[in-house]
Amino acid sequence: MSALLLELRGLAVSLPLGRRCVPALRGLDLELRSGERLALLGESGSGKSTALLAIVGLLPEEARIEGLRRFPLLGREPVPGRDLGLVLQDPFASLNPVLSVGEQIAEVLVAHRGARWSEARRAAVVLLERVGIADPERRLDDPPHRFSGGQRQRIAIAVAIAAGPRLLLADEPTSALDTVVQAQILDLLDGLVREQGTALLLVTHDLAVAGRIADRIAVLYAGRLVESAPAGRLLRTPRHPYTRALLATARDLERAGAGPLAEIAGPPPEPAGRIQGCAFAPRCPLAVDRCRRERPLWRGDARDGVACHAAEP
Amino acid sequence: MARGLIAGPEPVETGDPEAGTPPLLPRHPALLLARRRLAQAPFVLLIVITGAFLLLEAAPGDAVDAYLAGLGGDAGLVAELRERWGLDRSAPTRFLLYLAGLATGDLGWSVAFGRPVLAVIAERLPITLALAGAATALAFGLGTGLGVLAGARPGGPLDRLLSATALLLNAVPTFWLGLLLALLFAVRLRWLPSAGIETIGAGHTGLARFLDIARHLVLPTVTLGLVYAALYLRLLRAGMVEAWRSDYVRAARAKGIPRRRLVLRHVARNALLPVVTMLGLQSATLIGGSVVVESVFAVPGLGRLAAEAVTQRDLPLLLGILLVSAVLVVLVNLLIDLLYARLDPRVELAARTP
Amino acid sequence: MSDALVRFARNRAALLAAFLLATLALAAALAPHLWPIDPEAVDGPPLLRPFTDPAHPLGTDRLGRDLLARLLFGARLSLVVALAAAFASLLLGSAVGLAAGLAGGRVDELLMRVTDAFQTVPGFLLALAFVSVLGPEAESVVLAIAASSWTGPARLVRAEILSLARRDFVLAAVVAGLPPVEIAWRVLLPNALPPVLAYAGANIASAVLVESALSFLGLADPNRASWGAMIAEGRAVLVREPWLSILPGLALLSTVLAVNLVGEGLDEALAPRRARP
Repeated sequence: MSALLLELRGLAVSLPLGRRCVPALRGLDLELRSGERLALLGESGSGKSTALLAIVGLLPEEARIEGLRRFPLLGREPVPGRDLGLVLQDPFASLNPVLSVGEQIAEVLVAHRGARWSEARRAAVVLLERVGIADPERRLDDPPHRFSGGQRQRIAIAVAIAAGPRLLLADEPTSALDTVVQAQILDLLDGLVREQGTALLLVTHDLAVAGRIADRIAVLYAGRLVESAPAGRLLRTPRHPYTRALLATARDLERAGAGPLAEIAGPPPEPAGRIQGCAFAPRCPLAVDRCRRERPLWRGDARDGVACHAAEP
Repeated sequence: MARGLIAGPEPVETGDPEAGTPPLLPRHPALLLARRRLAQAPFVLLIVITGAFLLLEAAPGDAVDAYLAGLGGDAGLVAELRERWGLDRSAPTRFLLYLAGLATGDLGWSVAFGRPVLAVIAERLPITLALAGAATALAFGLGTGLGVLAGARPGGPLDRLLSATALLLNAVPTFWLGLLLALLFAVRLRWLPSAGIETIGAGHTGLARFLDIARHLVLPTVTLGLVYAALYLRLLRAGMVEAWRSDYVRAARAKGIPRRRLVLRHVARNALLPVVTMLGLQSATLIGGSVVVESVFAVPGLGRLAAEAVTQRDLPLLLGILLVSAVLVVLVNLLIDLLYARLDPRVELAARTP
Repeated sequence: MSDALVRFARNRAALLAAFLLATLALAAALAPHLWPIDPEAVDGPPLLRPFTDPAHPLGTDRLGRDLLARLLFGARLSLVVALAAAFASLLLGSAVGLAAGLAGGRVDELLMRVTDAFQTVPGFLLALAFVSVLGPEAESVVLAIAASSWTGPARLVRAEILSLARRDFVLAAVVAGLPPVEIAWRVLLPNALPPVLAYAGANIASAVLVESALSFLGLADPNRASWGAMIAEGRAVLVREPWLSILPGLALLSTVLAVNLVGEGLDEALAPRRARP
């Protein structure tokens, strides 16, 4: 097995919301090896984006963070841009509107690779070409608004990988794009990380996206991990009822017109406050009394396991 | 790897915007189009001229009365002049004559000075231009410079100090500030002169004269500029606070670029745009502010002239100043538009959209 | 509306400022009862220093008139003129903005050009021109200030109307067949007003400053005590007895500061910034 790149133990994050402090992440154990592709799957409010920001170190100052975050392979704190690259969700908002795209790529190289601006610009042209922007020489000095959403996301990816980071983090990179472009961006990501041996941590709510690009999928619910397994196995034989429900809805959406849509009954979990027992119990078809009293513990290891009273590990 | 969940072939995305339509862009709030403003300017000025004409009509007496005010004249002379100047015609005709006069640079006759309004204004204009220009430069430079410092660490001690000071300065009456500054720097400390534009009777020429005038303009410039500096400081700081929360700054932080570059090139650079817009909007107010500042420091400029025109009941002069100011404001706004277009690349997109 | 008040109450600076303003307004209104000295009466020795004589706690001016009385009466004038001018400006501006926003097309274009024209002329110069034509009485000052400051509310109201007109509840009213006047009055205006009210703070503050500048220059009513005029009077003895000009200046400063703080507090309370997710 390749070296351990990222290790999270008991990561818990609380964010201030108005007067109160709301727990966004309630204790996350995760590990990621060099070159591995992990998808963090969950609906909004599950804590997946918070986990991502915690790893990069971009949580707001007022956030309360507990738990362990280690980068064993690096042996030190990661330098953003150099060891970590980040791609955000909204391609229309993640690039500085008043600077040229070339400058926004080049500044990463100047900052981390000690390049001079002229060299960095040349490298930026190469990067633009690599991510599929046509006519990169001419477009280097264009501001972001001259590009379409898909192109802007490509540029954002170029920015993220410019300094050759070991870990690329992506927060719903395709959610704001239409399906055709989504597939292209995912293929681009796939090719790039494979080529450079970069590890990928992709946050998404879309099973199809996770299945397309990830080696392993970790499912989050209400700020906790509920299941983790190699992607193929998770999609064929999900163990946790939540994962099964997600799969069922995705399958039904694909098979348009084949009867009533499967749905996950009940309301999504309340973000604030304590949760008694299993967070998914109110919506779980397999829930028993024990589920409402006792929170199911994780059974398995850091890479493969499930937290459910009813499931087999 | 389970890839079969997304169906369909994968088309190649070309480098051009999808489907030939311009990329979706939220409408930029400051759709400044120098061309559009240029096209509107004559119409706007026409409205100003019309307003001035109406005010002239509303006041008792007419141009002949103004002309003969100091000279005196019998009814026959009055009637003859009225006829010669077309003042006995109907109102629309008078308006057209007024317009024609303006076109040839005839802004009327100043009662108080007994000379053409334009001549009086022309003498005083350069001084006010110098004062207003210097005050704007000071306000912009100081305001944005300190604003960047405040906005670099919002909520920090420097920010709190600067913001509180700016809040206070925003509330200060300009003329009172001028008096206090004059009291401190001119009277108690004797560093700077307290009135006038140059030392009378000193007979300076060339560079010495220039420096003398500059010394006299320091206090008026600072008085006028400080209040606007406070405004720009608060505006820039607010813009930076807004930018700190944006996605692109978050992405920039994730890039690990040096903090100085982050603050200046990403955060402040975007916050600068509304300040530049405000520069244009405040140009009119600044000229108005020069009225009191010039009065406090006895600077012989356009502002003080306007105050004198009111006390001397010289309406043609006052309206002449009004018109000249309006033209100045239009010109300044045009320049600001061009500057803004250079700073914000999104503006050209707006120009292309029909 | 009530949670806006709660938000406002949490802003300590704004709350303090509001309290200060209320006290000032009360003091100004009750001036003759609180401090029953005639501000125009030559009551004591000239140029008495403040805090030396309990009969004249803030001293006297060059003519021997009590400063505290003059400050209180000056407050009356400044506040009344400023409030009246701000109100007139808001009224006029809202009317124009409403008309422009609702009518659209050529009417809108024309009204916007007129607004541009008023903004192109420096406001203070315009006020000077109006005072020149109408005379120095308080009423003309009110009109002059209103004429020079209505453009801000006009643009604000128009922008609000334009954005509101596309919202669903307005379309629902149109579909329901409500007559346009009623739509304007009952649906549009209540929603367009909050940002304008927040702007009212800035309007009032600016009106106070303009009025004081006009009286400083001697262009407003010379017969009534006003802070600006007091500062001008104090100029002659500025070097030896600066407090004659300093005190009314401080009064102006505090008032404008308080108005600004309240205005900004209202602005934040009515349009709270969205919390970052």
